[in-house]
Amino acid sequence: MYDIYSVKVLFESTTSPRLSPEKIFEERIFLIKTKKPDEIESIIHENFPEETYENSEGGMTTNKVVAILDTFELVDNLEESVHLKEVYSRYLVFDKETSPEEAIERYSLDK
Amino acid sequence: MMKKIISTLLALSVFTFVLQAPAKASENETVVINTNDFVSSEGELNPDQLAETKFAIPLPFFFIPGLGQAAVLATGAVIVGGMIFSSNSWEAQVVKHHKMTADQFISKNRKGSIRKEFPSEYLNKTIEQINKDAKKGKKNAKKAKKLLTDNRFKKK
Repeated sequence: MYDIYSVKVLFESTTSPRLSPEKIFEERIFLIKTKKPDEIESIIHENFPEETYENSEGGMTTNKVVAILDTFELVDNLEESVHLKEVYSRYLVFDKETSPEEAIERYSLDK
Repeated sequence: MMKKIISTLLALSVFTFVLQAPAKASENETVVINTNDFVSSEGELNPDQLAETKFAIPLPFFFIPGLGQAAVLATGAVIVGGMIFSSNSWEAQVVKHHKMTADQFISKNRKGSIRKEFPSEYLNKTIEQINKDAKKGKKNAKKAKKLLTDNRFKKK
């Protein structure tokens, strides 16, 4: 029996030459089917090695995995249909009364 | 006679729904038109008869390779494959700008910083071509599509 995990991964983008100060990271969520959740990190690194390509500014861009941000074991069954199935969840816990706006601001949920 | 009246009323209600739905849809949300929703409670119209009422909707559909039949609504939303997509969706961009190159699209609609991430091989390809290649699973086409659809790169 395989379990399915949503794994949130952060990629760093590095450009050369660096023509402007902007910096870009990419957050991606992958579904991973595995019997061994402790191997998720190695699965990510094996399947997403550093890669370099020519960008539209005429320079080179390199994308690489820099962090595995979160792992969530799916509670819904994806076998029949994926419609309305939950693929990721995390709880945001505060030690005092917090408004939705403050929660969004604190965790940059809308950025 | 009665069936014709019902058919005409039904066509009008479908048309009204089509015009109203995009306004209710939020960004990247899709609205599905299910013709079964319009069957009268008496069951007087079958799906074939309902299909006939589609011809009463005066929308100019046209064909886009890799996407199929499409139409643009006055609100900027589009209909593709019987589904309505909001004016900000990728499908709407493909329909409205399918002959535009990524370079032209970026200059008009996206921040310059996208170029340091955008794969050069797709800069002079049309939106239509990028969409086709992304559907085929080509890695850099998928990257190009992701960048063009991420509203964080949208010009303010």
